[in-house]
Amino acid sequence: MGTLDIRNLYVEIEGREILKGIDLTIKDKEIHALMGPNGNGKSTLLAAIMGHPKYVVTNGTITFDGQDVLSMSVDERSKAGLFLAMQYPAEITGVTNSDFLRACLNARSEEPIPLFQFIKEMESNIKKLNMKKDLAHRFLNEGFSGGERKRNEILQMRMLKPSIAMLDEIDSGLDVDAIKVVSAGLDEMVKESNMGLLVVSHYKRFYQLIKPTHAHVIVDGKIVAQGDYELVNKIDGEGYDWLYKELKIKPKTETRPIVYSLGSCAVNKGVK
Amino acid sequence: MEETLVLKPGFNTYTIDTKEDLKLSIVGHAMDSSLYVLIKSAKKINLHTLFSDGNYHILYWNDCDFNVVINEANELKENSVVKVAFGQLSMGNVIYDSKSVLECPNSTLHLKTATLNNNDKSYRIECINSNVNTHVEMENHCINTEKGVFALEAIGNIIKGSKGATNFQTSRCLTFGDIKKANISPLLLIDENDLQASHAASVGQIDENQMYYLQSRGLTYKEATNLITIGYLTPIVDFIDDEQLKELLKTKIEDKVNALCLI
Ligand SMILES: Nc1ncnc2c1ncn2[C@@H]1O[C@H](COP(=O)(O)OP(=O)(O)OP(=O)(O)O)[C@@H](O)[C@H]1O
Ligand SMILES: [Mg+2]
Repeated sequence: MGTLDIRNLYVEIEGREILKGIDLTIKDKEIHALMGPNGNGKSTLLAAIMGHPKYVVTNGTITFDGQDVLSMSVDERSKAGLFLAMQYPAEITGVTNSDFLRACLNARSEEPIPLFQFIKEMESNIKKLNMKKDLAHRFLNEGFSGGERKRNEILQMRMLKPSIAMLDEIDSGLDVDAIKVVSAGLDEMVKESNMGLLVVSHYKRFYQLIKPTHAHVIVDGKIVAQGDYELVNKIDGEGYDWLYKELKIKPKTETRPIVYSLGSCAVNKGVK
Repeated sequence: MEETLVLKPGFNTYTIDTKEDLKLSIVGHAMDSSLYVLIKSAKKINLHTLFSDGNYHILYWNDCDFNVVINEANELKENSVVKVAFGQLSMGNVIYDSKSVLECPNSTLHLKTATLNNNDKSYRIECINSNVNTHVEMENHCINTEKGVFALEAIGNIIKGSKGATNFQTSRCLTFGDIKKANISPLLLIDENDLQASHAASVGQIDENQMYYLQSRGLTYKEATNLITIGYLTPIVDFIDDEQLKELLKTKIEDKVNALCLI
């Protein structure tokens, strides 16, 4: 069993209120689609669930199987079975993908995983995801193409076997074949290990493959519509205008430039 | 004490274990050769290297916790491709003054340092392109702990007439204490038009997004910090082509980082 329960969640970033009372429940085996126009709080919701330090919860609760998620550190949330495939995964020089994965697996078990078993498992997943073999020995996400990064997020998910996985635009940057491979893999994990999913995507192509059981639309930090796959279909065909009209609401439009990494002359800032 | 080491093709090792001042000359001509110099104990070392016609990799590893002064002079003659790395996790104060001159046409130098500093370290590293088609790449990585004081002067110097020269340098320091205790001064002196050169330097604390990313995979704050720190230092071991030695040095780095309690 794994039930993620979000009640009346309010989240601020740098003093700006982004989420304004979100209610959402995800049970195992359920596949939830989260849609909404750019900059309206989808990634914010996932980051708040995972515990990104910049995203401050000012009100509401998040529980996972009855445990208080908000009182857990980020790593505790991961160990409890939550996983977030990020929209913009970080690069870490000097740490190879395989050393990283092994450290993550060892961090969640009493006994370190035997090297042989680890390699076998990693290689079989790499093969399943049609990833280049050398990606295991490259530095974590460094110089990875957009699609390689996304596959690498899925590789981590497969190795860590979460109870609830949140995928933030995992399909953007993936080629047609990769989208199929990734969705087939998700389907397998939902069926075999009862994983629950919270998926953010803008595209029907992906939703068609993973067949969401629930759909939600976030506009300006609130869930304004809920339904099933039909809702995904409607948004894909008609966009969001009908919703704005029906509910007399306006989306948030300001967007923020995405900073991938610091320039090489970034003195006194973060160092890569 | 004065010694001369004439390199042989293949893998060479040399250990410095002395309480006296040491003058060590290293010579390589017409071969592919790699050398691992382990500094077990020393006070003052004067290194002088001379390379020509070949590929040379040298890794100096300062394994002693005494205060040491190291002066290094590298001379690159024609058609030499040289990689020099200097690594240390030393608990002593170290002064490292390194000067490399690419005197003849067609030579390449890749110089790299990796430092875990818990004391006082002061480096001055200068690479001089003094002929046509000479190429320099310099990379410095330092982890400065709360107690450490680190100063680095990284200088690229392109002499007039060195057409087609390149001189690139990056220096990065990750600090765990007061950021002001780490100081990097990059400098490019250029007296030629036909060249490419760049420098980049950064001093800063560990990146919040990197930490979040690792923690979101189940690593604790300390485990994530240590992994990033280890990753910062270990690429230096790739300067030597000996798997056993690589593993040994990697383990040394991991053990030291884990023992230090950076946070
Ligand atoms: N780290 C941050 N710092 C400052 N502002 C942020 C940060 N993250 C998000 N925001 C702001 O919060 C709002 C919601 O952003 P969010 O990333 O949740 O949108 P989204 O719905 O995921 O959009 P998209 O579809 O473009 O990915 C935006 O106005 C954005 O600029
Ligand atoms: Mg987003």
